[in-house]
Amino acid sequence: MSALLRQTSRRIRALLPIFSSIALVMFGLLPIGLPHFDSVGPAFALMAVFYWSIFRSDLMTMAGAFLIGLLLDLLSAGPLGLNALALVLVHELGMAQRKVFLGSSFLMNWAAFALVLGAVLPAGWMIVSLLHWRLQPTVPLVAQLLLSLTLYPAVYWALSKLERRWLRTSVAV
Amino acid sequence: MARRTGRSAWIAAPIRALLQRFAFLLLLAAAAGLILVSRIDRPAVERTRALVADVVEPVLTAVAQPVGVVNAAIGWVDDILFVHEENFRLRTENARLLQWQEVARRLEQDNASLRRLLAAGPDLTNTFVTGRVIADGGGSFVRTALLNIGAKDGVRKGQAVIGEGGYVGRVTEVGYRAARILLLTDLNSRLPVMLQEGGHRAVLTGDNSPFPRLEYLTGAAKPVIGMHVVTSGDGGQFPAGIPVAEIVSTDGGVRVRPLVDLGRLDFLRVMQFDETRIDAEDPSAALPPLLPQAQAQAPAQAPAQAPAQAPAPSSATPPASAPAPKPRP
Repeated sequence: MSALLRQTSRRIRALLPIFSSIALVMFGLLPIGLPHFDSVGPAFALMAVFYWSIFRSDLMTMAGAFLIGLLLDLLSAGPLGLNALALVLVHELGMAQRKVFLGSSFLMNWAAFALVLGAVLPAGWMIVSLLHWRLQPTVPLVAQLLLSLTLYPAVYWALSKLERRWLRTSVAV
Repeated sequence: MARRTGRSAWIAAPIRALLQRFAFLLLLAAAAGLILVSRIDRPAVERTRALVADVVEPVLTAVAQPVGVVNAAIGWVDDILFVHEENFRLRTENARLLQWQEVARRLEQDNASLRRLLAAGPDLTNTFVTGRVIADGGGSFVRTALLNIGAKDGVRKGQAVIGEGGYVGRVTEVGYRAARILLLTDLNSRLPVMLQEGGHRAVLTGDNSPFPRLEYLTGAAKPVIGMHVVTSGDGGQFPAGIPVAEIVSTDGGVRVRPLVDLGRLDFLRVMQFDETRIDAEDPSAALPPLLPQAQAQAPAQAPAQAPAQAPAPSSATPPASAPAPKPRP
């Protein structure tokens, strides 16, 4: 009985990276209006997927990243598939670098996040510009970049707390 | 899944790596395919989105309350920071409005006597359903918002959404419990408008910037900074005269600023415009409601969604005029 309980608890905890990412997606959608900023939100989903693909890539699979992106696409109103594409890319980039970043400091991680953000967000901007065949305004893009970069430490801190509390005791699937 | 050891791990590892590589390409292709599909089959995408919105609506509505508090706090700080500026603006505005009050009183009297002369019925009632914004567009490429009211409240595609001060956008996707609105600043927004003074027609075109452009303005029109723009009612989806925006620049294309602060949306009203007028084949049916034909159709129009404001449909007398959305100069 206790073995079954332990196993169930482990299974549930293994879903933590996905669920925390979904929670962040929802949080990012809340209509918290910054004054003088016209609906620019930080890319929370991107932060979560980047974090988990480095620290728990066994639990944050690529399909998981894709589904989180798809959920965000369905809940928001941009081109369907754009966030899915972005998050799969982020996952791939995170996975490729994870050996480098696992032992390194937070500052390194932050810098890497800046690079990934600086690659993925403008790529999305370009895709949308191509789809509409008109250059999109760059101010929201830059604002989103800076806002995401600024808020990353907070998300990193929260997710690492979560990981230490619930996933440190050898959750392997 | 049990951990593989020994020989099987030695074989499985490369296969797994291969699968991983394949999965990456597969998912990339799937995402790219979705982007294309969403360009081609919009109705299917809209239905799916409406369904997902319906599912998450209770969660988002539940957290909308604390979010409202957070927004109020942010607004409070902002108000304090700009209190002097705001005070000055309000004083000047107040002085101007007092003059307008005189004008309005006189016009009201004129209007009433002219109506008596014409034996015209009062304005048609527009009823409203009020909903709360529970999510925004979620990205820097769209200007939309999700409302926690849907088909069950009588919301239908194309209806106008009014905020505090004027037009905000129109309904584009409707689920059972939630509806998405396209804000007038969105790239895909095209709104038939007219200049308040002179009535020159134009199209207000969003481009994702906070200041939409006024296009196809006739040559005779003289747009001046500070002039107001209202809906023209062309297209018949909603009535003429809803305040929309104020002209802020005229050099290198006319740009306007929406009267409603689109960065701080909370409660919004969806206007349930009289559909009998749209359905009527009589071309004069699309004319402003002052005409006598409109009077005859008036009793049929009141939908039952907003009982507080809707008069009884069977009532023989035309409904009393409801206040149009208050303009904020």
